[in-house]
Amino acid sequence: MDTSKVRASYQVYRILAVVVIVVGASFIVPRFASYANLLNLTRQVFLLTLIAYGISLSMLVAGLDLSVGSVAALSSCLAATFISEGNVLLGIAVGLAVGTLCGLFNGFLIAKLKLPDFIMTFSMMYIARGLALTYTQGESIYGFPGSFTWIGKSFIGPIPMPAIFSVAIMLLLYLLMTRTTFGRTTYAVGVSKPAAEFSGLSVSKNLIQIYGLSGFLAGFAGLIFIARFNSADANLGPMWPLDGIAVCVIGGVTFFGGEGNILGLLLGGIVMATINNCVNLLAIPPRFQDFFVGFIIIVAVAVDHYTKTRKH
Amino acid sequence: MKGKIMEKRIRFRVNGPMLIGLVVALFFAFFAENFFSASNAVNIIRQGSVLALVSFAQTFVILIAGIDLSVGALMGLTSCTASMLMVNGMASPVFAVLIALMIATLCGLINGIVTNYVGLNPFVSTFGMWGMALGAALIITEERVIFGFPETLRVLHDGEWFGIPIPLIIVLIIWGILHFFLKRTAWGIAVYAIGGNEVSAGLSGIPVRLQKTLLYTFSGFMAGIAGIMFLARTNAAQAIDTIGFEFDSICAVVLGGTSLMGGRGGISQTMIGVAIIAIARNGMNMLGVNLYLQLVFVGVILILAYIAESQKFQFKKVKNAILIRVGLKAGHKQT
Repeated sequence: MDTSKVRASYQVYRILAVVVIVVGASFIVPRFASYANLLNLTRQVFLLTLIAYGISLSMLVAGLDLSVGSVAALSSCLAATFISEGNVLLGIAVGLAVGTLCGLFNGFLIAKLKLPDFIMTFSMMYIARGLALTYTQGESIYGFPGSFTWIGKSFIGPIPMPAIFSVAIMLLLYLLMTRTTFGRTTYAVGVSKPAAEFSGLSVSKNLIQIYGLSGFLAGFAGLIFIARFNSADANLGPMWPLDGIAVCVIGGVTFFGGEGNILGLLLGGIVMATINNCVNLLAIPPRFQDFFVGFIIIVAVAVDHYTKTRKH
Repeated sequence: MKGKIMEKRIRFRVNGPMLIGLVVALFFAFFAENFFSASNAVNIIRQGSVLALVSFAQTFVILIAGIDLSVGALMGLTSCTASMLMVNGMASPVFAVLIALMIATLCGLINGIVTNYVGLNPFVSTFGMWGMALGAALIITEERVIFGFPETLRVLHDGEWFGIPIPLIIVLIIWGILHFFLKRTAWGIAVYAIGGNEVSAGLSGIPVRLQKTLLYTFSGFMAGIAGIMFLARTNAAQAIDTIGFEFDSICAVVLGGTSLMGGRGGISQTMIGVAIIAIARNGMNMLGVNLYLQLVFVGVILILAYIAESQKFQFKKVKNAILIRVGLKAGHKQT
């Protein structure tokens, strides 16, 4: 009872902080509050959360999936070959299957052979990137039919299609995590693996499922990105792990597992998108962004950690 | 009795990583032309020296059950800072190198403080530093390749002293110092104590936080030195060139047999891991394996090395079971 109140108050603080940041930005940065820019901002928010879903799932079980960007690159490059030949459905199936397989492989080695999650996904980051680069030989694949590019380029009203997909996934994941046995198991595994094991839950099965789902989502994000750019490149998303971690941490998903909410990613997405957007509007070169993201992660985690340790 | 001692000595001399290294070297000696030559050996040493320096520092951090993902980016930041200072004529080569080393050390100190005094997971704090250092290097070089330095720096890589390449001399000296430090001084023993059990180390009066912070600082400093060596080797600085060294260095440390759980391993084991990776990379280059596929191989090697390391006891169990079944070893047979 008490802890849920504390958690609720954290959420209120988070929402307040985000409102302050956005309102502050609209006063300080010229042209920030214009209609066109806010629309652009919305798209950025949902693209960022799309990257972060897989990472947030792995963080919920106290793990970390660093391979999302590379897996997205590998699956989208393999899919792109089929799609550019006109086999759109086959291509999409291949992309999602490759992503899921990479994720399941991660999960299997982490759960069954007890590899530390970050060593496994860190290796997978390089393995998938290497395979993608070998496959494309560093060249990009382009020329997709319109029956594929609509998932990244079209609009419904003023709202871009990727944002709609992203919202749909967010709601589905929210329901999955709060209303199903799978979701409850995931939180239990995240809080304490031994306790979950003793309660009769299958920890290793859950881990494999979570990493598999993370790989699937990475493959999906890869497809949306290549549809948006209308070309597939093996260098897709080198900074995704960093961006995704920042979104998750600001959104209230902690590294200790079992805490956080998929809807919270929205807050993280808004903060990160606002910062990126302001960097662009103020004509600061984009190379400053890496620096900011690294800095923000450390500060956000430190603040989170500090408030938690003070409470106890 | 005598036989047993001999057996023990042999087992001590030839361990798993050495065998892997030998197999890798033999493989390339058979399949790659010109691999087995003196000039190529010198080449491998020159290539491996940079990795050796980073891996030494990584060994210390992993021995205390930490990890430093920022080394690759810090190497880039060091080489970019030093080269910008030299090219713009703001400092003499020696002074530029010193300033760059100071910056790398400072970044390592920040890693250490954030990890140990603020209390973040080393994985998060050093990954954040990775982003910051890479960003800073991109900012100061404006994403260009910097070249055109004075010749003095090249000596670090090309130079020879009585026919021995200078990089080898540097690595051997640092190896000797660090090995002595780790095995013969109280601070070195404390490293193992912290890695083995942090709480009991703290209760035994070891200043755990201070020592861990110093080790992260040292890791930053060594990444800086490796960055300078890398600069001397390539003779051109680019921010993203050294990204990937964190991966190779972790791989070398794990391959050598240092446990990621901390408390087991050492500098000399890492030397073997470095040799394996340097030989494998060189051999793959000679065979014409493209650079991208090499990433895949190193990743697979890292996973396999870790599995071999963590499942060692089970391997022994399996081996004994087989030996007993074949009848080479006495034991109670299961019926």
